[in-house]
Amino acid sequence: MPADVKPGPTAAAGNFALERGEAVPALIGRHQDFLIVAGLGGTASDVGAVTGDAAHVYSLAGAMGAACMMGLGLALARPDKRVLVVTGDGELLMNVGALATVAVVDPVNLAILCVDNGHYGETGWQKSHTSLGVDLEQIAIGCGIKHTCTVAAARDIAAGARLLREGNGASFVCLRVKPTEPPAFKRNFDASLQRDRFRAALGGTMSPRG
Amino acid sequence: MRRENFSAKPIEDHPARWQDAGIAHLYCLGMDAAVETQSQTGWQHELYDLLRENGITQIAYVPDAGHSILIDRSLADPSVHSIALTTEEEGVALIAGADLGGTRAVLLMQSSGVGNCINMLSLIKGARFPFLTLVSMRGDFGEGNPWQFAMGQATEPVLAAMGVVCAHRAVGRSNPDHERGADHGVQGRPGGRRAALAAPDRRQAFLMDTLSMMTACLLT
Repeated sequence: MPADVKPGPTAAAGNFALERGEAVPALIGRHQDFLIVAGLGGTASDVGAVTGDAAHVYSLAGAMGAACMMGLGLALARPDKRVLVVTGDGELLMNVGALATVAVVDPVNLAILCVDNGHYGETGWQKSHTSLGVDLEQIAIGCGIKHTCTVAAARDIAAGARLLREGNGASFVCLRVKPTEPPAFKRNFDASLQRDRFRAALGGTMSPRG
Repeated sequence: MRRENFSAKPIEDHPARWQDAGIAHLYCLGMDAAVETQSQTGWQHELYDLLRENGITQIAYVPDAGHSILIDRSLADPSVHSIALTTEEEGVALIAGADLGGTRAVLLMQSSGVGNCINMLSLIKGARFPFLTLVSMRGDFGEGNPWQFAMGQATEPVLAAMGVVCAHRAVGRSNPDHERGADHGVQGRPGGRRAALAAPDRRQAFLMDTLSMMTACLLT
């Protein structure tokens, strides 16, 4: 945590306590069991540290707010696979209506993991709304997502991991972590290469371009 | 002239599916509701069939009167996912995700929604995802609500700036300039696989040809 970061009211209550470098791998478990869409910023590194630069992962580095809806489109396209979206509090807040759309469609094979550190880590550790009282799990519940939980302590991790894997319907896990740097991971910024190899890994054509 | 057609017949006499839409909305879409008949809206059913024939299985939209037939058809079609969005940019990301999974999607929106999509189109352009959207136009000639002018006039420039190839089918029965422009826009295809089609228009043959060309280029 940078020295100039002042914990918000919720952080002061101890809710942003887990180490992301430990909690994210523990929640994901065997990553090969999922098709993964990673949000931009820290969550792409969180996932990359678990999976490496892998074909079953699509990592965003822009288009902020896209992760949940990409996951929805993918989940509907591949009902035979389990789809995991790993996004951050800032990205989710930018397009929070996606939770409502996901809840309405309620695909059985979509799980969303929000790594919530209460800050915009990439842009100078400014507080996000979740440091100031906004509760993303409550928003997810209000949207109608039936399977939700907040993982704020080590004892919550097992239940969170089960929810991501076994939820019958869209599931949402809010993981509260310290506002610390994500794991070091050199990301692949080639969006088109990621797309082609993702499709190829699923047995589709590399490039259906007329 | 079209404005007079609207005022000539009260809204409650229009087909039921249009009743909630409001006069200005119907008008700007070129839906000459006072004289609209089932046969004249047949092109929208053909459009839906064309989308389905081209393998589109996810239909995403922010509700819009101009797309109501497509939306109703998608809701009644057990073979597609009909996905109502809270904002149009959700649909851009959804299309990308559908493509990752090997399926095809379309985004239906009003011109005002195009502005909500700008940064999300980075995803489409950066990764060269195939992307098809049908845009019902407001804010062009004859618009009754001045709030629609700004985005309506900016729709095509905004899409073009983000690399989307546009074919604009103007409202009204005859506008050769627009038709030539649309021909050029589609056949040139400088950006490859991204296309938007501003709809609707009664000249269904041209519309169908345009969309058929787009879907063939984008989706095969």
